[in-house]
This record gives sequence, structure tokens and C-alpha cells, in this order.
Amino acid sequence: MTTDHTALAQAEQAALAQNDTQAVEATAAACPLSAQTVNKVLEIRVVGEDGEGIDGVEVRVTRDDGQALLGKTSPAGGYRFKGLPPGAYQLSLPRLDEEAWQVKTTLDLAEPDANCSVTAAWQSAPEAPPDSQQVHVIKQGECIGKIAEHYGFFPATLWNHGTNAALKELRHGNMYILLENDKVVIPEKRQKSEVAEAGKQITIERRGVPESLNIRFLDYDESPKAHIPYLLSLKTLQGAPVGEISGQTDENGFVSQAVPPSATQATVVLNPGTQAETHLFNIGHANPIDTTSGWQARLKALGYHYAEDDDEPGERSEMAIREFQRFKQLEETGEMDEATRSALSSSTLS
Amino acid sequence: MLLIRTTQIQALAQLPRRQFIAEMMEHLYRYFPTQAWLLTRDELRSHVEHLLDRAASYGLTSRQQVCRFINLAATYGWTFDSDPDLLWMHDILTDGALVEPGERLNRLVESCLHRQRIEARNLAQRRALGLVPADVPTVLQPQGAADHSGPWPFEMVRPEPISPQTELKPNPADHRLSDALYGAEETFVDD
Repeated sequence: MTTDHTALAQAEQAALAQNDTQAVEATAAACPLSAQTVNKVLEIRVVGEDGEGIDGVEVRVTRDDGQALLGKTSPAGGYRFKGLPPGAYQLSLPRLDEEAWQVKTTLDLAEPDANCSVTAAWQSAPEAPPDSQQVHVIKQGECIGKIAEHYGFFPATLWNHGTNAALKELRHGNMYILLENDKVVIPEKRQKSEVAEAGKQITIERRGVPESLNIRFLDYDESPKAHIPYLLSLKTLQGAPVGEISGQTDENGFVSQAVPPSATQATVVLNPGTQAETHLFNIGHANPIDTTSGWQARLKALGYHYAEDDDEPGERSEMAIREFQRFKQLEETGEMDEATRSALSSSTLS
Repeated sequence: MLLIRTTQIQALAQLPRRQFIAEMMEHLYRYFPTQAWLLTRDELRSHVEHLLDRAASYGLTSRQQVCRFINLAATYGWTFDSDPDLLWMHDILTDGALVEPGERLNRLVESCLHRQRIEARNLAQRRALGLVPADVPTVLQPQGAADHSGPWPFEMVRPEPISPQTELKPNPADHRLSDALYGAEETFVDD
């Protein structure tokens, strides 16, 4: 466990020593009437497919009479429902579709952690807002992974939904490369619940989280920059700080890391130190290769196209295509024909 | 018969609050000395009083909850809960998904500590990789003695001292020594 030495962490320890039952204006603390009552704790932990905790997931337990308790996971992915009488309850994740989560493990809580003297404040389960099918219009930088996380779906559920079949065909089945103003149908969310017993620790896996980020670094001759140390920093939609990751590119020159689907920008510092080179990537900004801006961006990424993406195939684009065709020993037409597009696609892996 | 007036009852009722405010001021001097010593005692007391009311507006009323709220204010700014750059904190304090105010506070403190841990880890990693100089001081250091030698700082060339032989000439830009004004004053005196 990490030890905190910040002023806030130390002051927090001091604050926890203060009385939590005595109001500031009161002269004495309230008498704990139910101190003899021994209730149970139900601990929920929501993790991604990589086993890391996920912050801010709503979890709910419901009694047979419909009364419910609602909680939200901490940054470490945990939430403890305290003060439950022994017995079984219905556990659900109200913001997630049924395919977006699954129970991974159920363990007994150790004795001191399993009991508590407080009593839960049950409330009537809130009316679920009417959840109907809607259409999401893609903005630059969005892909199915991002919007699936936002709407509480498993990405494949959205992508394989019958109403999105035409889009899927149009984008050649690649759910990570969409075009601005593409329309994705968000189907109605389906709820499910699982039986959860008080005194247990239940680990739930959020499916489709995290996403995988793969960036390949090549030298000018397209040979991989293998075994180069790097530092990867991320920015997310919410702006929360993300832990930086250091490592080495693999033998094919790849930086491959698990990242939150909401990541919008990646900065890779290769060879950190005096020889450092910094590369900035806008995640999800690549347009489909069959659009002009799409192939221009790919040529640029490979170092052939030096102009800004202008969405217009001009003289510079033609030069870049010829240069690429020459390197790939293709017929030098200066046009983005099928053979060139295919070679470009395999070079950029997208 | 013992007679207790209403004003006395009101004063007695205020006693725990005043004691708590004094305790919180000492708490701030101890755990957040930089922030606390930048203010006068009256200013600090005023901040604490205001924070008690702000905490109450979020349903945070116990001594522990208010103390934790004050910790956050000392760390992120005295008006952190209305700071547009810290909207995420306000969002957690008013999150309708959590019914109990204490739970919202728990989540907020955990989030703050989590963010601080990530930032500290990132900084340590950058230092280890040589991206941040390892010797950058993280606390304020005394910067040497202040220059109280007059209007001319050390680095500027001081003017030559005036010798007794130097002839003083009236400065035409100075109206008090201008001939015209001197003459006018003379005329006025004669009248």
C-alpha cells in the first residue's frame, strides 16, 4: 500500500481522529444506540479487463421489497455497502448494459471487515429514466470504444447491433476509424442483476475497458525502432491525471499499452534524456483511408507528406504518393489507386 | 433564583462553534503552515467561519466532516468548491448518485489523494528518466538578504557623490525654482 506524505494526507489522518457523530454546534456526541447491532458489509470491486479498478461506476443492491442502496466506486474501484442484515440481495450496475459487465469472483470477507455496527439507510429505488434508442453523431476523435464507455455498453454490442450494420460495412468493419458526422445508433440499455450475499467481496469485470493503444515507430527506411526506451503520457476527456507509463518498444517498434477509452491525446517521449524526441498523437483522429484527409494523414505519419492535411489532393500530395509508390516499388501514378491504398494501409496498420 | 437572559443562552450556544473554529485554526497552522501564515488571524478565522457554512450547505456538519472539508480548502483554495477550474470537485460534492453527504465527501477526499499519488508518481518517474532536474527545490528557500540600501539597487551604477565645489544650477523643469514663479511670488508678497 502506498504511504502518503502530502500535507493533505497527513491532515486527513488528523481529521479522521475527530468525532464523526458530534455536530460542530453540539456540546456532546450523539449516543450510538445501535452499537450492539451487528450487520454485514458487502464489498464490490469493479475492475477492467486488465484487473485495474475503475472509478465512478454506480452499483446498487436491492432488497426483496424493492428498497435499494446506491453507491459509486472509488478511484481504486471499490465500494462497501455497510449495515446490511445477513441475507441475499440483488446486485446491479444501473448505468451499464447487461453485456458490459460480469461477475468475476465472489469471496468471503475476512471477519473484522465483514461486520459493522451501522445500519444501512434503505431508500425506494429511484425510477429508472426512460431509456430509448438514440442516435449519436460522431465528432472528430471519437470511435466506438469511446462512445461505448460513455453510454455504458460493451463496444462489440454497439458495433454488431443490427441498426449499425450499414455503418459497419461503410467503414470496412473497423470500429476505431470513423468519420466525423457518422451516425451510430445507441440501442436501449438492458438491465441485469446478480444475487449477492452480505459478507462477501464481489469482483465485477467491466468489459471493453481498457482499450489498447498501439503506436509503431519506424526509421526512415521503415525498419522498426526496436528496444527504445519511452515514456507514455495520456490526456483524457475528463482531464483527470493519468499515471505515466515507461517501457521499451518491442522488436517491431511498437509501444503497446492499455489506456482508458476516454484517452484523447498520447505523448510519447522516445529516448528520455538528452537525446529525447517527443511525439504527440491525437487518439482516434485518423479518418478512414478512403477519404483524402485519411490517406494524407497516413502519408504524413510515414514522413512522405509534409503539407498540412487539407482534404484536397494537390501537387504536394501527388509528390508524396509518387515517393511512397517508388519506395514500395509500385507503378508511379501519383494517384491514390487501390494498390497504393492497400500498401499504405498495411504500412500504417490502419 | 438564577436568571439567564436570552442573549446569554445565545452566547452559550455559540461556544462549541467558537471552540471548534479555534481548534481548526490551530489545525491549519500545524498541517498547512504556508497557507495559514500568509493570513492574519482574523482573516484565517473568517475563512474557517465561511467554510463551516459552505460545508453545511453540502450537508457536512460533523466535526470530522467539516475538518476534512477545511483540509480540502487549504489544499485546493479557500473557495475550491466554486472554482470553475475545479468543477470536478463540485460535481462530486453534489453527486445525486450518493445519498449520504459523508459518502460524497469520502469519494472526494479519495479522489484528491488518488490524483496526488498519480502526480507524485509521474514526477518521480520523470526525475528518474532525467526529464526533470532532480535538484529542483520543491519548497521555498530563503533567497538571501534583501537590499535596503536605498533607491539604487546593487546592480545599478550609483551616481557620483556631489562635491562641495559643484555649482548648483536651478533645474528648469522644476517649477519651484523657475524665475517666473519666483518673480510672481515676490510680487504677491509686495502687494
